[in-house]
Amino acid sequence: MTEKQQKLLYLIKKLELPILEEDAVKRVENLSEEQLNYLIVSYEAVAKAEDNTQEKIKKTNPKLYQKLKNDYHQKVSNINSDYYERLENTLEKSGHIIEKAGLKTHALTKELLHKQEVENHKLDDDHKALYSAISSALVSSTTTGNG
Amino acid sequence: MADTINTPTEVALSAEVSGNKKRRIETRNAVTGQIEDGTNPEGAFLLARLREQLAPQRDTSGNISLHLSSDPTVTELRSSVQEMYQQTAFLDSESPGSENKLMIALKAINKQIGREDYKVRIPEDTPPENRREAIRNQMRQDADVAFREATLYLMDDYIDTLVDMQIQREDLVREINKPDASDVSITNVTVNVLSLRVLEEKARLIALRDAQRTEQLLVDLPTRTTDRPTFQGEAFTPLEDISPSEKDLIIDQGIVAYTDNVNAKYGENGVKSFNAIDEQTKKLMITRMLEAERRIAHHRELLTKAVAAEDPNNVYGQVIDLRQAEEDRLVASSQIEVLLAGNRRRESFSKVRESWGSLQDAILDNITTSGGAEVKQVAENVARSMREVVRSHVHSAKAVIDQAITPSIQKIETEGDITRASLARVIDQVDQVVADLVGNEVAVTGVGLDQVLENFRVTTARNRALAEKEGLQAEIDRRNKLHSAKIGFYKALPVGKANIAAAFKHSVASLIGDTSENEATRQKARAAHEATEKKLTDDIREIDQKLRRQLGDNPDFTYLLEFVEGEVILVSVSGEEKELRKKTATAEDYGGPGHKWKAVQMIGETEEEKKEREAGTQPVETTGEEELPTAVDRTVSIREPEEAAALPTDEITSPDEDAPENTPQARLNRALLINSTMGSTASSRSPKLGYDQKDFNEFNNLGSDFDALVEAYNKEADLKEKARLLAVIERRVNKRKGLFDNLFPET
Repeated sequence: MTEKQQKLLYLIKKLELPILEEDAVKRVENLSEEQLNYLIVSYEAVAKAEDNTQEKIKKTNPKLYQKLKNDYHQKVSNINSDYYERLENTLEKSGHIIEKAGLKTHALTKELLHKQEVENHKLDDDHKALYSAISSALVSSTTTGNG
Repeated sequence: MADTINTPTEVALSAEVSGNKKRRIETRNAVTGQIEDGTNPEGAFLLARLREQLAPQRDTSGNISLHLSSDPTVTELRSSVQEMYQQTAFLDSESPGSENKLMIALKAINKQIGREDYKVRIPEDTPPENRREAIRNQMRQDADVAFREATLYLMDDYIDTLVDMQIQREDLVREINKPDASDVSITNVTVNVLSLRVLEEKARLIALRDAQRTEQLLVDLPTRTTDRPTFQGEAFTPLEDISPSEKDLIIDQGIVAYTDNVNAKYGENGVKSFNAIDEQTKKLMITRMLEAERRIAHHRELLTKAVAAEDPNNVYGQVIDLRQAEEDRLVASSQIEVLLAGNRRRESFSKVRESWGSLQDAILDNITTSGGAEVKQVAENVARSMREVVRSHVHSAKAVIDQAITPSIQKIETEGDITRASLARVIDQVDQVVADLVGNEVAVTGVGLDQVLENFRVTTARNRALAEKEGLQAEIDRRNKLHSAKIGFYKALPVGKANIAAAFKHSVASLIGDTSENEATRQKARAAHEATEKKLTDDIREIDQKLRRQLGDNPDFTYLLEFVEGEVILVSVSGEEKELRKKTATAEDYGGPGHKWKAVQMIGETEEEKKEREAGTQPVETTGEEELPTAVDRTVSIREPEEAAALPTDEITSPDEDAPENTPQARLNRALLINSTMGSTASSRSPKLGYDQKDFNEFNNLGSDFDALVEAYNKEADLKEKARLLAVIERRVNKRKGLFDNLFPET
């Protein structure tokens, strides 16, 4: 990412433009040099206008400014906290489901391996039983014949 | 007595509580250290404010210039701290009773900040003659400690929150570093990282509140510096994307390592079973497992980065990718176990056949040599026994075995075909059937495992997509709310709100355009932009009218026009040439009341602009038939007003033509500099300009139109056309500057 692109992203962040970070990055990366120049100049002008406005009211009416700024901070904090809470609920719910699915995967895997083992044991028993039957029959016949 | 005996659980609990307490104290010390050494600028700022509140500096006349807080806690502590330092000073001057007063002040501070009753502590082996001095020295030191603790006491909530954050950070790191990746809890990790953000918000608000306890008007808290790196996730490189030789080496090493594991787990027989897997399958299985293990390592690394960045979305994404890789590994390794189990069973069948087969061989030898009725009898016995066994003892594959061996048994029974070969055929059939059944079981289990993994994948993908969608919506809502809050803040400010809101909305609209995936956002942006655009259009029209009046006000461009005009030579029909003027042009020379303008479409001008201009609302350029417009008021320049005002009048009206800065090229360069600084502005009449992508592009191409214009100027041989182009350039530059001045005034 070029210096200009980074600068524009910084300005977008500074101005709190309502655009998702990944969208902003995608958008900025596709801008031509000319578009970049234009947006940087525009946003710098906006940022400067914001700063100037704040500076002016801070000097002329500091108490009002402080009050408005505090309210703004509180509002921003509440918005962020609400967002994190909402995200937490969403991700926690989803995480639980995936973890549950993971546990199920482990259990089913274990069950399948166990089932294979059991089936193999049965086959082993069958195999032995048949061999045993043949051997017994042969031994018994031999004994009878000899007797 | 029983009451005093702790149960193991109580002991463990007590140890845990004690351990937690110790950990908290250590963390608190570290957090406090960062505040005091300035590593945490926000905390350092707060500490400095509170320190000066408790021990305000006095100037040489003994006055305090600082605004002192009237917060009761601060006031009380300040009073005790001041008393304490006053008495410490008296202590130095050997003032009688100062130790007692200092003691009282120290006790008061300790009480106010909720510490245990203050006692002065001196070494027990202090000689009596030095005792008083030792006490004084200790109290001096304790005074500094008390001051430090008093300021930190005022920051208690803030420090506590930072301690919570630090502990949570450490827990998070511990969680993601669990040896078995499948033990890393998705919910714990995700919730913890989000809690960190919530705590951060809390700390910031507390800092703001505490800073304002000083009742000083704060510009703002210092920006919180964080050593959080930005999350950067490199893409995973699958084995198939690496060089074949490297890939083969990794797989071969994987096979060796797995053989060792099998040996440790199942011994030599296990290794034999493992080696019995055909090479291609073995490589395939080991590659699958190695790939999963490489993914685990990759996502663990990325998860560590995401946690260090405290980035909730990436933490969530990586912890899920890690879990997916872990499940892949589990199933891949289980697939090998399935093959091993099958092979072990086949080995077992071989052994049975080996040991029992030799016995059967011996008997058969005996029988077949005796011949006659005996053979028939044996055949019947064997057939009956096998039928019996199949009927009563075979469990899992009765039908299959029955079906496989019945024809051979029937042959023995009916035909008395009891030979080594016929019995061996039956035994082979038995072996074949069970071997097939084992193979079948391997396949069924293998398919089952893949199905289980696929189910997990689907569940994960679905829930992840849902969560990400909801998370994205939450993020969009948050951005919009933050944006509204900011607009609300500026609107509430009693100055500049219209311009700020207009400029801000315009910027937003031009940026978002059609790129936002959210229709509501797009509509909102469109509406905001169109409203802004209308205002801009009106503003621009007004500016243009002003500009028309001020055309030629700019001494740089006027000079250029004059320069060009000074170079004009008129050529008559007869071919006679004469110099038009040598003198500097005046306003009267270039136009006057009642002058008729003929509209031409200018470079970069839209049809709409042209029509507007034709209607007489725009300044125009000449075609050569008319005379050039020029200044009507030369007191306004493109210089900053203050700068212009500071200049002597003659500098504005009569520039020194020989000065380097006044050469035509220097003036043109300055004009171009304005263009490059200002770029293209929203000066078009298009109502969608800056929003619609097409118009946006056209709009941004104005800069290149400008360049084309300058290029045309440089190439143009016709001086009158050159003059016309200069007028267009001037108009462009002034328009841009005028627009910016109007949009973003220096308030």
